[in-house]
Amino acid sequence: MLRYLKIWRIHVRAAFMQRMAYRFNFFLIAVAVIIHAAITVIFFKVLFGYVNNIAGWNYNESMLIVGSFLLVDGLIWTTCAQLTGIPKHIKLGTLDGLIVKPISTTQFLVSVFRADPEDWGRVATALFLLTNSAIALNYSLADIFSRLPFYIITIVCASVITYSIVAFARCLSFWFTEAGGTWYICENIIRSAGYPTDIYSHVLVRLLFSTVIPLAFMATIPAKIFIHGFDFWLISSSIALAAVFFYASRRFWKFALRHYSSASS
Amino acid sequence: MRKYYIIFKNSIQANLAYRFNTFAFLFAEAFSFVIMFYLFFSIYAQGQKMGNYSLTNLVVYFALTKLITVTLLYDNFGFTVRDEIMEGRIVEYLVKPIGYMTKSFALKMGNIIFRLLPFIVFFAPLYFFSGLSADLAEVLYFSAFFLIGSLISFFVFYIVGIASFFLGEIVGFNFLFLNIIYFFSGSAIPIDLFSPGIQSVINFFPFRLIGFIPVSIITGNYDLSSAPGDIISGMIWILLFYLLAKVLFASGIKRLEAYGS
Repeated sequence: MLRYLKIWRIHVRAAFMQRMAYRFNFFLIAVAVIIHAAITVIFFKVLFGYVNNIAGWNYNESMLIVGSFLLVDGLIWTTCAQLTGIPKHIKLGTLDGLIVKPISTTQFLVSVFRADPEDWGRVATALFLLTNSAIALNYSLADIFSRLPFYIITIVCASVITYSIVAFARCLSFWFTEAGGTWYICENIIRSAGYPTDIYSHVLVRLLFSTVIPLAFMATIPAKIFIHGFDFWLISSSIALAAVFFYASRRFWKFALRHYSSASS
Repeated sequence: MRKYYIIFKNSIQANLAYRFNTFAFLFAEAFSFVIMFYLFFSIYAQGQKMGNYSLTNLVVYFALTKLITVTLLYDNFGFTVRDEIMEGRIVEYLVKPIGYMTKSFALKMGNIIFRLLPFIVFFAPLYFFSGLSADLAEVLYFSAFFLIGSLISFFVFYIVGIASFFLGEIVGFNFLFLNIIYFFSGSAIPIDLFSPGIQSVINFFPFRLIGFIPVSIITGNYDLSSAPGDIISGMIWILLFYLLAKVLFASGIKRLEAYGS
C-alpha cells in the first residue's frame, strides 16, 4: 500500500513540475477551474431567485449537493485527472511501457499517470461551499462533527463510484482509438450528479440513477447524510455500490486490456 | 478557392474517420439534456416558474443552446492551431500558397458542418413537437446569427491557438475562454433571467450573439427590431477579432523558431 502511495506521490510531483514549466498557463487554468465551479453555483443562485425549492431542497441544502459534487469532481481530477492517461497511452502506444513495469496493477499506474494540481481550487471551492452552507443552516459544531465521519465515508464511496464510471468510459478507448469524446460522457455524467436526484419523478428513472448510473450516490446521498446524520441503509448501500462498481471496473479493465493492440513499434 | 474547399472536405472526412467521438458527444449531450428536462419539469410541476419562460420554452432553449455550443465550441479547434505551431508544422503553410487563417477557417467550418448534422437530426423533432413555430424572417435571422456566432467562435479560438506563439501551452487560456463563452453566451442560463446589472455587463460582450440571441429568436423571446443593430455589432466584433488575429499572427511568426528539413 505504501509503495502505491509513493508512486502516486511521485506522479503528483511530476504533474506539478510539468504544470510549472508554463506558470502563466497554470495560473490561467487555476482561474478557469474556479470559474467553472462558480458557474454551477451561479446557476443555482439564479434558479433560487425564482423558486423557493427544488424537489424539496432549499438553497442552502442544494449548495450542500453542489459542494459534495464539486468535492468528488475535484478529488477525481487531483488524484487521477479523470483517467485522461488511458486514451492518451492507447493512442500513442505508450501503454506497452506501463504494462511491463514491475507493478502488479497496470490500472493503478495508468490511473495516476496524470493528476491536475490546479483542481485543488475546485476542492477548496467545495469546502468553502460546504462550510458556508453548514453555517447558513445553523448547524452547531457538535452536529457537524457527529455527522462528518459518515459524510466522509459517503464521499469516499462517491469518489470510488465516480472513478469506476470514468474507468468504464475511458476503457472504450481500447476499441475506438481516437476516443477523446469519452471525456464528454464522463463530464456530463459527473455534472449531472450536482442536481438533487429527487427531481426524477418517474420510478424507473429514479431506479436507473440509483443503480445503473448511480447519480444519487455521487452527491445527493452524501448531502443527505450531512443534513440528517447517520443512516444505516444509505451508508451501507453506498459502501456496497462502491464495492460493486469498483470490482466491475477492474473486471472491465482486464477484459479491455485483452483487446489492446499496441500502436508502437 | 478550390484548395480551401478540399481542406473543408478533408476536415469532414477526418471527423468521419473518428465518428465515435460524435456519438459520444450526442450521448453526453442527450444525457445532460434529459437531466435538465427533469430539473425544470420538477420546478414547473410544483407550480413555480422561471421568469417569463414556459416549461416548453425553457426546454427548447436548453436543447438549442446545447446544439449551438457543442457545434461551435467543443471541437478543440484552438488545440489544432496550437499543435501546428508547437510542432513546427505551421512552416509548411508559410511556404505554400495557402493563407493560414483561411485554411484554418475551412477546417473549422468542416468541424461545424459535421457536428451540426447529427445534432439537428436529434434536436429538430423536439422543436417540432414543442408546438413552437418560427416564420421565414425568424429562420433567416437565426441563420444570420448562427453564421455570426460561427465566425466569432472561429476567431476567438484561432486567437487562443495563436497565443501559443507567445505563451507556449494554452490549455489554461482555452479552458478560460470556453468557460467565459459558455457563461456569456447564455448556455449556462438564459441571460434575461439575470439581474439588469449583470445583463448589461453580459450585453457588452459579443458572446450572447453565439447562443442567447439566435435561440431567443426561435423561442419567440426576441424583438426582431433589435436584430439589425445586433448584426452590425456582431460584424464590428468580427472585424476587431480579425484585425487582432492578423496582428498576433504576424508578430507570432517573427518569434517562430522552427527546426527540421
